[in-house]
Amino acid sequence: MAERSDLALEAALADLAGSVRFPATPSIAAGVAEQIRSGSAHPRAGFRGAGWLPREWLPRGRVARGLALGLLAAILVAGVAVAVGIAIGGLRIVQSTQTPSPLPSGVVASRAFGVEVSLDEARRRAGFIIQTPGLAGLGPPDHVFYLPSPRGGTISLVWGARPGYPADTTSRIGLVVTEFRADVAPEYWEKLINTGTRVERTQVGNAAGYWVAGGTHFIFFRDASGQVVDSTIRLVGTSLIWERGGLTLRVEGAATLAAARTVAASIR
Amino acid sequence: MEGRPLTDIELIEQAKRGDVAAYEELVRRYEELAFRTAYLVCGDAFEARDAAQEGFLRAWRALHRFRPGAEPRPWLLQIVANAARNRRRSGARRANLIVRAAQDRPIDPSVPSPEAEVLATEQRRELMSAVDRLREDDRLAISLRWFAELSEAEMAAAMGVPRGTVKSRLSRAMDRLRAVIAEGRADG
Repeated sequence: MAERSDLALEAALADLAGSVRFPATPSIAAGVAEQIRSGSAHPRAGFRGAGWLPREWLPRGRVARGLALGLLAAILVAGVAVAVGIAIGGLRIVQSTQTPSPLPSGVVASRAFGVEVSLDEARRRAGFIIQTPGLAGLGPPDHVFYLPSPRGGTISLVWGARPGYPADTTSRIGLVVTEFRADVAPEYWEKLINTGTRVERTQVGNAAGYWVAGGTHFIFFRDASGQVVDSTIRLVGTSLIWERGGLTLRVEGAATLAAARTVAASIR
Repeated sequence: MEGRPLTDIELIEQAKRGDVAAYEELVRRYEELAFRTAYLVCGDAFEARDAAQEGFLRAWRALHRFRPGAEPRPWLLQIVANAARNRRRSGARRANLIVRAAQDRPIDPSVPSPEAEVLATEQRRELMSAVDRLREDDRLAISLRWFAELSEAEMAAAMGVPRGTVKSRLSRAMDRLRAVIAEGRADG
């Protein structure tokens, strides 16, 4: 084949540019103006003044920014949250400045995980290879749930009480392992946390992760337009979150980081 | 001045006097370009959004250093791209650029038939695939030039290199792209 001439290649690239699809541009101007007006972007104030995290826990650039909670505000908080630059494989961690009301029990119990399916059915539906913990004493999950969002779906493996992993008295859930694809932008899971919740950077094997402990926090899904998908809102407990092999994984219910890491290390 | 939109230079002069609304308007004009540039640099939409926001806030704090009468676009791009590069270091990913299907592309009256448009779409996908097979610095140079449509001066600001380096990197990237295309044709 003859080589393309410079002009022909440039023309082809110019033509291609009209067909390239970037992720949708989020609204940035309003958030910037809001931070300037609130004084959080005062000259030379720096970005490390988010306040709720020790400096050494914060990843790279730090931005505290106002975030309209949309539907979630109506359901849960009726307030303003401050997002920080913590993102791990399709999951964002967002700090709320107000204490949310308790979730309706129906939301917690049923809608949040998706539909209950068998593990085989979950394997058929998921757009990835489901990994399961091989920890002695856990056995197969008591319940498996499938949620079609985001791309590839979200799988939640749920156990009741197990030795070392006592069940929550309200939900009767002992341990949850959640998995979804990491490359799901512009959709994403958002974890809303409150004062009293610690977010600690940690390692899970060779992967970077976060230990989110204490306080009250929620997890919900935002679609590509940034809207909260309300059927995913769920009150969650202390969690270990990390990314491995193109998946974002979360272990919820272990009382300590060491216990969570033990579960994480057994996941294959 | 009433009745016409303010120029970028007018907006930035007002912003320097503390007019947040003027700065918000300036950000609105450049948020898409800033986000796309940041996305190409750091390869992640979340990080790109944060980098753009961080860059615009940094620029607000540095307005007193902005040279009167200068164009704000390359200056803003430089600050946003710096923020994006800082974010890229600890979690490098490649921007996932997708070629839209023929039916999603604006109607092009120069294309003679739907079949020709489908063929053109396939050729665009092949070309994007070739761009994707380039080394990251070559891919970034081509993406910034052709997909974000930056000038060489703006590319220099975004890449944090002298303008002469941009020229040589772009030339090298185009050479390699031609080679990748030729390889693909030879294999096919």
